[in-house]
Amino acid sequence: MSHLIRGIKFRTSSFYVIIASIALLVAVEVLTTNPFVVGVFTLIAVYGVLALSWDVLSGLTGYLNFGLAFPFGVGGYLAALASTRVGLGPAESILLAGAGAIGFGFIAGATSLRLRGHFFIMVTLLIPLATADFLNYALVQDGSIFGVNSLVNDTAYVYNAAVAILAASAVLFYMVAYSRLGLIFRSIRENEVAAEALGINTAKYKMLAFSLSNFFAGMIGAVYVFSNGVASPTDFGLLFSALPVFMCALGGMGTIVGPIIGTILLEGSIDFLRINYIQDARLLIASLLLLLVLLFFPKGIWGYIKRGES
Amino acid sequence: MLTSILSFLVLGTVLGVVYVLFSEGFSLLYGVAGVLNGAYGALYMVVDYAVFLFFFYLKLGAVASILLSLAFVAAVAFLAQKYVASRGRSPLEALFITLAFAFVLQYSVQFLQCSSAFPESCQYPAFVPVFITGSTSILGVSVFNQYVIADLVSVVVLVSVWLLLSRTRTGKGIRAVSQDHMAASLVGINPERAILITSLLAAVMAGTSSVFLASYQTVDPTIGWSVLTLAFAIVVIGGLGSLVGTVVASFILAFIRTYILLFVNPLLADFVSLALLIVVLLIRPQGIFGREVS
Repeated sequence: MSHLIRGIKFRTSSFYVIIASIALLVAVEVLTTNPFVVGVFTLIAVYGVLALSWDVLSGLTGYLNFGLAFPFGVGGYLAALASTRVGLGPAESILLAGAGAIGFGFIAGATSLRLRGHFFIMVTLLIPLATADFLNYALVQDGSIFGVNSLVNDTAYVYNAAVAILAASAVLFYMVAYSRLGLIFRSIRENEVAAEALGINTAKYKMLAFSLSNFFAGMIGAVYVFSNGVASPTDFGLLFSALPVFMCALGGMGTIVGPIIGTILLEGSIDFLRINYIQDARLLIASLLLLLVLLFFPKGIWGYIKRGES
Repeated sequence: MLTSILSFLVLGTVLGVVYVLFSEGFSLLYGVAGVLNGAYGALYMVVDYAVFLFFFYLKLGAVASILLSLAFVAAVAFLAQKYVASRGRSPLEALFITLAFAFVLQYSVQFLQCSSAFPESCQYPAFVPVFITGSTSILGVSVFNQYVIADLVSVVVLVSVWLLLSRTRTGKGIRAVSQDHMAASLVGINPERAILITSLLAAVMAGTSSVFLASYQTVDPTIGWSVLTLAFAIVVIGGLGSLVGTVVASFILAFIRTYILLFVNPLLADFVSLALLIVVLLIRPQGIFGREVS
C-alpha cells in the first residue's frame, strides 16, 4: 500500500486553503457561543463532509453518485438504533454508522459500479428514494421513527464531532487525491478501458473510492441525526443527494478544495440570508448564485482560480 | 373478480397514456439535444402553477387557461433552451446547468406563491379545481371525465407529434439532428433551431400531461422532481432513444403501479415502482429495447 500514497506535496495553495477552512470552523467555536451561528456552521461542516465524500468518488473517478443520501441516511438510522436500542455511546455509534454505511455501500456498489454514465446516475439516484418510500411505509405501519435525545442539547459535542470528521476527511481525501492513488482514480475517469489495459484492477479501486465516500457520509449522517434528535425518512431526501453535487460543481469538481469553498458559499448564503425581508428569497438567491457560477465559470471557483495550471 | 381485473386494465391504461406523453417528451428532448434536461420536471410543475393562476385566480375559462398555460410553459422552455441549457459545453455541464435552472424555477415559484413580499396572495398548497366534472363508465369501471379527456388529448398530441416528425420537413430535420448532429448541419439543417423546436414540443407534451392531472394532486413547488425521476427511469428502462421502448416501459410501470394501488397497499406504490426500476437497471441496463451499453 505504501507506494500508493507516495508523492504527496503539502506546501500547496490547495492544502493551505483546506487548513484555513478548518481553522475558520475551529475559530467559530472559540469566538462565539451564539446558537444561530454555531448551528449554521454545524450545517456547513455536515454538508462539507458530504461534498467532500462526493468529490472523492465522483470528482476523481467520474462515477457521478446522485445518491449520497443513502449512506447518509443509513448512517443516521444505524446510529439511532445503536444508541437507543443497544445503548452505545455517541462516538462508538458514529464509528459504527460509518462502518455500516460501507457495508450497505458494498451491496449497492457491487452491482451499480458495473454501470456507467447515465445508468449509474439513475441507480444511485433511485436507491435512497426507494429507501425513503419504504421507511415512510414502515412509519405508517409501526411508527418506526427514532427519537435520539442523548445529544440534542449538547451542541458543542455535535459541533466538535462534525468539525473533527470534516478535518479528517479533508486531509485524508487531499492525500488520496494528490497521491498515486488519486492518479489511479483519475485514470478511471479519463479512460477506464485504458486503465485496465495498464493492469489496474479498476473494480477494486472504484469500490475503494465508493467505500471512502460512504464511510464519511455515514459518520456525518450519524452526527446529523444526533444534532436533530430524530432519525426519519427525510434523511434519505433528495436534497442530501443534490446539494453536495452542487457544492462540488460550484467550488470545482475533483479538487477536494472546491467542495469546501462551494459548501461555505452555498450553505452560508442559504443560512446567513435569514434576515427580515430577504428571508423568503434566500433559496432563490442561492439557486441563482449557483446557476450564474455554473454558466460563467463551468469549472467552478477553484477551477477558475487555477485555470492557468493543467 | 372480473370487475377488479377490468378496473385494473382500464385504470392502468388511463394512467399509462399520461406516462407515455411526459416520458416521450423527455425522450425526444434527450434524443435531439443529446443531453438529459434536468429542468423537465420543473416545467411540469410550472404548468400546474400557471393553470392555478389563470383558472383559479384570474377566473379565465378552462380552455383559455389550459392554452395560456401551455403557451407560457413553451415560452419558458424556449428561453431556457436558448439562453441557459445551450451554454453547457458537455452533456455533464448541461445536466448541471439545467438542474440548477430547475432549482431557480422551483424557488421562484415558492417565492411568488407565498412570501413576506406578497402576504395577501399566500395560498399553500395550491389547489386547482376540476375543469370537467362527472365520470364515465368504461367497461363498467367508473373513470373521471377529466382523465378520459386527458387521455384523448394525450393521444391527439402524440399522434400530431409523430406526424410532425415523420411527415414534415421540420420533423425530418429534427430526426436527422437526433441521428447525427454533424452530418445534419453539413446538409444544411440548423441543429440549434431543431433543438429549440424540440424543446417547445417537449414542453407542450409535459404541459399537457400535467395540466389535466393538476386537479388530482397537491400542487407543490417540488412535484417536478418525482416527474423528472419517473420520466428518466422510464426512458432508461425503455432503452435510451427508443420511442417504442418508452411506450412499453410507460405502460408496464403504469400497470404495476395500478396493481399495487388496487390490490396490495397504496402506500407501497412508490416503493415498489422504484425498487423494480433499480432491479431492471441492474439486470438489463441497456433497457428493454435498447442496444448494448457502450
